[in-house]
Amino acid sequence: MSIVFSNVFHTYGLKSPFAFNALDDVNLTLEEGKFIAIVGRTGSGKSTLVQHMNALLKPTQGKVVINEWINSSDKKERTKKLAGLRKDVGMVFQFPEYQLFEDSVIKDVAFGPMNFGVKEKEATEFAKEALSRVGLDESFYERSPFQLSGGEKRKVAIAGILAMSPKILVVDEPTAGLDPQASKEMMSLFRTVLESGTTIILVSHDMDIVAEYADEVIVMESGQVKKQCKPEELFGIALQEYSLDKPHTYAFAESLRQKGIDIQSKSLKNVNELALAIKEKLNG
Amino acid sequence: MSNIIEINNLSFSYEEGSKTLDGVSFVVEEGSYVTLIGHNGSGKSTLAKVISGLVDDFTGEVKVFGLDVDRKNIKEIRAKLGLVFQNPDNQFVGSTVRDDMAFGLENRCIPTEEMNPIIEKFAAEAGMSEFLDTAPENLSGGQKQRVAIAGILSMSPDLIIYDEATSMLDPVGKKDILRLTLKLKEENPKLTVFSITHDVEEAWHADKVLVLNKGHLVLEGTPKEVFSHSDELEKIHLEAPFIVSLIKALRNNGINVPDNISSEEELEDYLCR
Amino acid sequence: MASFSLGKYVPFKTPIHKMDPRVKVAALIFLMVAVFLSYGSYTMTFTVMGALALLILILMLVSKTSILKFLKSLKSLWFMIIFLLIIYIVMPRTTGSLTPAFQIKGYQFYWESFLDAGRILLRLVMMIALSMILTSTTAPLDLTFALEWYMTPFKLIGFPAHIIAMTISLALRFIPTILEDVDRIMKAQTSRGVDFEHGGFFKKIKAIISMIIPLFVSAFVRSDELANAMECRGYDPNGKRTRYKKLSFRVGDFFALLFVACVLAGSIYITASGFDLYALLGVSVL
Repeated sequence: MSIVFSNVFHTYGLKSPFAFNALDDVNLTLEEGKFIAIVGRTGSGKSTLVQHMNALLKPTQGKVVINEWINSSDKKERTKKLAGLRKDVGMVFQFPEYQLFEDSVIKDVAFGPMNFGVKEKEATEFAKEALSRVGLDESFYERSPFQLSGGEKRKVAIAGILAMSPKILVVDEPTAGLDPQASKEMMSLFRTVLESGTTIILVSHDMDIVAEYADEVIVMESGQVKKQCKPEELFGIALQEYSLDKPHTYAFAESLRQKGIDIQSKSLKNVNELALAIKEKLNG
Repeated sequence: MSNIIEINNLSFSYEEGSKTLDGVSFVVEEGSYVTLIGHNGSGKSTLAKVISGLVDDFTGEVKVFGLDVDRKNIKEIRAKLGLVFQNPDNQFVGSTVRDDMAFGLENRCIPTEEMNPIIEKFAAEAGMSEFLDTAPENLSGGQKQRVAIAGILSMSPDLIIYDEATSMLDPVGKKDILRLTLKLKEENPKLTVFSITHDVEEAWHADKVLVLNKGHLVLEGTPKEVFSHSDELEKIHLEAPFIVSLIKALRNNGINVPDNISSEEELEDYLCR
Repeated sequence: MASFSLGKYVPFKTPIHKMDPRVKVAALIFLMVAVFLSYGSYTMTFTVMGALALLILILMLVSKTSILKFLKSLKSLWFMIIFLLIIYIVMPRTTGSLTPAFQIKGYQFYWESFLDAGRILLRLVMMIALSMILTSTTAPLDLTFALEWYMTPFKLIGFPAHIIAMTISLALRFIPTILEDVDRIMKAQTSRGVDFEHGGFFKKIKAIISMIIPLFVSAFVRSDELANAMECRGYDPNGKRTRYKKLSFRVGDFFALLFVACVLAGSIYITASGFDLYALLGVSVL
């Protein structure tokens, strides 16, 4: 499933003196099967962008085509019933633990599939499978989601989206507030989800995570897409113009370059790749 | 040097049978920057609550400024102690930065005419001068935490405790608060900072690191000492700071980085020599 | 959310913005009383009310209260207005004399019904305008202070005026935060297939539950953490506190109060004495 934005505008407070273009003529193609990161500072339009992908927001101008679904500013062109789109494009918001409400974990996870017409029995099966994917075993099924720890709650919330078996999974700052170990588990979960054929779209401020996991980075600024490229291409250049931070590994490589060791343009996903690149340079 | 916090054999449990804190003992010396790391559920936050008198019925000895933390002393202790909590929104009381900072001053019965100069001075110190009349919904998480810190500074505290103050912030916000903390420490060497965190990069900049796991204090020492125990840290699923992991990775690749290297700059120089 | 912001504080710097909020609250009450007095004959009533309406219009212009927003807020009240009209017209008053106007299908309509309905409508509109002037020129916190000041005498009988004022100001502080929560939770549940707009009764109930429960959970967490933070910042509801915001009563406030008091006194005089300008001029009236 690919997503194509054509000339998309989203204006808040249209026809008022406070009108503000949250999206300003966005043209963008997101290919399926990739791990795509969307970066940019707060207020750059990242959240507005992703909310067009499952039609939580509708363009004020232009259209977004998500396979057979059309989310257009033009009512005639727009797909009549967009509810099914929300099953195909799963959306995990920031701090998703605040969307839990059922009295048992299993019921909460099955809630999504049931809303899309899956029978209770089958939905429960989906829920069990999703829970095992996020690493929560049977002992959690009947527990109240409100008595779990913060990290476990978040896993339940994410299982609730995975149980809908989305083809595209959009995650907004999924590691915010988690400790490093839980963050790592969370990110490797998304990697396995990716390997099962689901496209992952990650919105994040954490450049270390972006460098390590993303196949492709999209840089947003003032409602516009400024760059769409591979992480090493983005982080190899000066980033001040986008007011983005460099990931640790690339920042270190940059300092080394200034002192005479040039390992630029290499992929430096993590310390191991950085160490390897340094070794090759020193030995060669 | 005197001890600002003194904890002796502290135990605490929310429910019978499972101890959240189990025989914890440590001291925090005046003027030091101490971080306590451990992953979620290690008992970190409970410790912050004990020290600030938000929970009682613990066993063991907990002294802050040499006073036992109990109902009788808590007012006196809080007068000299400032806490920054995790969620920036839920500690912002006023409807503007100015009002929020005034809230603390009102509680301390500072005369009205003295408030504005105090507010302006400490807002400047925390870098929030231009936002004095801004409402909280128009501030970033990092800026709200700066306001919380400014509010605390205006009380001229002896001890600041961060209870995961940066865990909900983005990396820029995290760095920002760390920079501010280091600046404050430099300007006022007598100020003690006790930070409960899971940000190992922050811990790397502290004078002392305490590692808590399942209610037990497992490691204690300078950042360099603590993070040299990489196997033990790995066992309890704690990461090492970037510099420590990089040195380890380099060594695995046959580059024998000497032990005395402890900053990125030193490492760069070593590699470029 | 749009309708919520109608009476929102707009930080201009007009003379009315600068007034002491206590005076503004008093002025609001005085003018409202004047609006609700009855002034004898219909002509006299509408003359006095017209004068009051003119005064209110001037106040709106001086205070830069948005007339557009005011009209919009009336629009959202159209249901109530129509309801009132129907009540008055279908059920004419039983006292006094009635002048038949016309008949539709045997049902008798009276002129008085229309005039009564018009009067109550005018009162309602003026009341809304007055409240809007107050809320758009006074910061919520200042309003809270003013209300607390008026509640001060009740402190003598143990009424916790300051606690109530603090509660109100905290509620005001957290309204935007909670609205953000509502928005986020609704979007999250919509993404899970909840339809807040369509669907039958049970589906609607479930949709609402899926929003209310997370909202309460989040609000409880917030209030718990807020209480801890306030305690640690030295707040003691029963302790002594100083005040950052001092309400100051200036010369202008005195004259404003004097003016409004004169308006009210004049209105009361007209009501009590049965003064009728038209009778005095010898013009025959309704």
